[in-house]
Amino acid sequence: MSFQKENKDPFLAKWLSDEISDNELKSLVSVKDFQAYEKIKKGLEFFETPTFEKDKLYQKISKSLLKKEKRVISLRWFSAAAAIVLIIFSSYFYYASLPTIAKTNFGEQKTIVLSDGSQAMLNSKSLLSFPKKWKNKRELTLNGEAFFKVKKGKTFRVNTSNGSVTVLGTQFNVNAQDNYFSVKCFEGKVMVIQNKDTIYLTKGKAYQNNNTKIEQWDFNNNKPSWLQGESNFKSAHLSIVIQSLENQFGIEIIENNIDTSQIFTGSFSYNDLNIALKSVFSPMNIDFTIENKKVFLLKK
Amino acid sequence: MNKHDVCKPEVYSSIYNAQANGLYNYLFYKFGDKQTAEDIVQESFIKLWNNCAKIIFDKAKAYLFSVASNMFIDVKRHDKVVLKYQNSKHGKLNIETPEFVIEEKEFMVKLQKTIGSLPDKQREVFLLNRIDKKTYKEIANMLNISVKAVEKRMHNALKIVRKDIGNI
Repeated sequence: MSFQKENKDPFLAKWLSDEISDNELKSLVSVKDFQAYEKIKKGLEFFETPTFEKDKLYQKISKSLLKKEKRVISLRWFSAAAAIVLIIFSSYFYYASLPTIAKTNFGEQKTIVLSDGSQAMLNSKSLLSFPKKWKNKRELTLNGEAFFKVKKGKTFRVNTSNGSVTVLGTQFNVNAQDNYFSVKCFEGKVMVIQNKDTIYLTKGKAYQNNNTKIEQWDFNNNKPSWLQGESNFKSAHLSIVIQSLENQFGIEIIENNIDTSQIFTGSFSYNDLNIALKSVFSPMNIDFTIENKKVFLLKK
Repeated sequence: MNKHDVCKPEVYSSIYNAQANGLYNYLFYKFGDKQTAEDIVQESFIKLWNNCAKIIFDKAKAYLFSVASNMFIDVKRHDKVVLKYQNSKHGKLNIETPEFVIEEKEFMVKLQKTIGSLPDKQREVFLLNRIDKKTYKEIANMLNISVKAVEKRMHNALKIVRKDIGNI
């Protein structure tokens, strides 16, 4: 019997399970081996497993289950109840204290109706946060550009990192970028507080602080131009215009050696990137090339 | 209510009645130790109860055996030396020798010792078949191995026992 064959054919297993007969096994092994195998097989029949007290063990298991269950249940119920109460309370307070945040992405605009019925329209890449419920003052925080239609009522204030605008009931536009802050009043009267200055704006009056250069002027549209799909600038730094273009179209503008402190007055429309870029950069004598959402600027 | 819901006490106890002996024997063959086998049976059934909602009636047996063999692995890791010692305690197996004459006793003691020192995997299969009269297919299902693997273990086990016993 070769080793390999033995490995492949478990004939002893087959013999034990009566798949092959004694005679067949005899033909595979020596007489001596056959006698030994037979003796082992017989001898095994006299073995038994030691007695196992099944019922006793079951009682033991039941007892330990009962104990565990009691402990687990009482503790579970108590802690679950406590946890639920805690969750309800803390989530209520947490929820009530959390401000609501409205956010717009590149090229996106959103209108938000506030709890007092006032409206806020957000231009692209802007963030407005306000509490769920107002107590005395109506206060909001803005980063970016928004147009507000304020219902008459308690003091309404928009805080930005550059300054705040306070009104009673009116329509106004705020644009607060990094170094740029502008307010246009479309109806009623607003109070703009920036640093320590207080400026009052009535209908058709605009105010801007462009990198510490303060300007006030009159205008005669009755809605901010961006609501009609256009951004308007009056002697704004080119960097502000570039920022608005990027926000509106979701592009990246690579300035190269362009002087971004140049002043731009004009507008661009949101309909077409190419036209918008042309309307901003051709008057400034700047060439541009577009490559996958990237715009490279070049002096003419 | 499903009558095969393992979480129902009567279903649970029927599983115990049907499976406890087989599980105990299997563990005893693995360990060669009564107490350890009992402890693991107990632990396995407690685990079955704790997870009763997740286990289908038909899978309860397989669950018990796999839980039990996983626990065996844990114990074995700690008690490698103890296990060897336990193996040699197979002598506690009851022997009835009605037909065998006195001189046969020596053979039986030798046979026990040889079986006790078989590799674990061969021993459990060998004894499940020889003592519990489980078919190779049943063993294969129980241990989640192939019938071929069971046959191989049976074959090798008998070969080793024969070799160790020597001339008779």
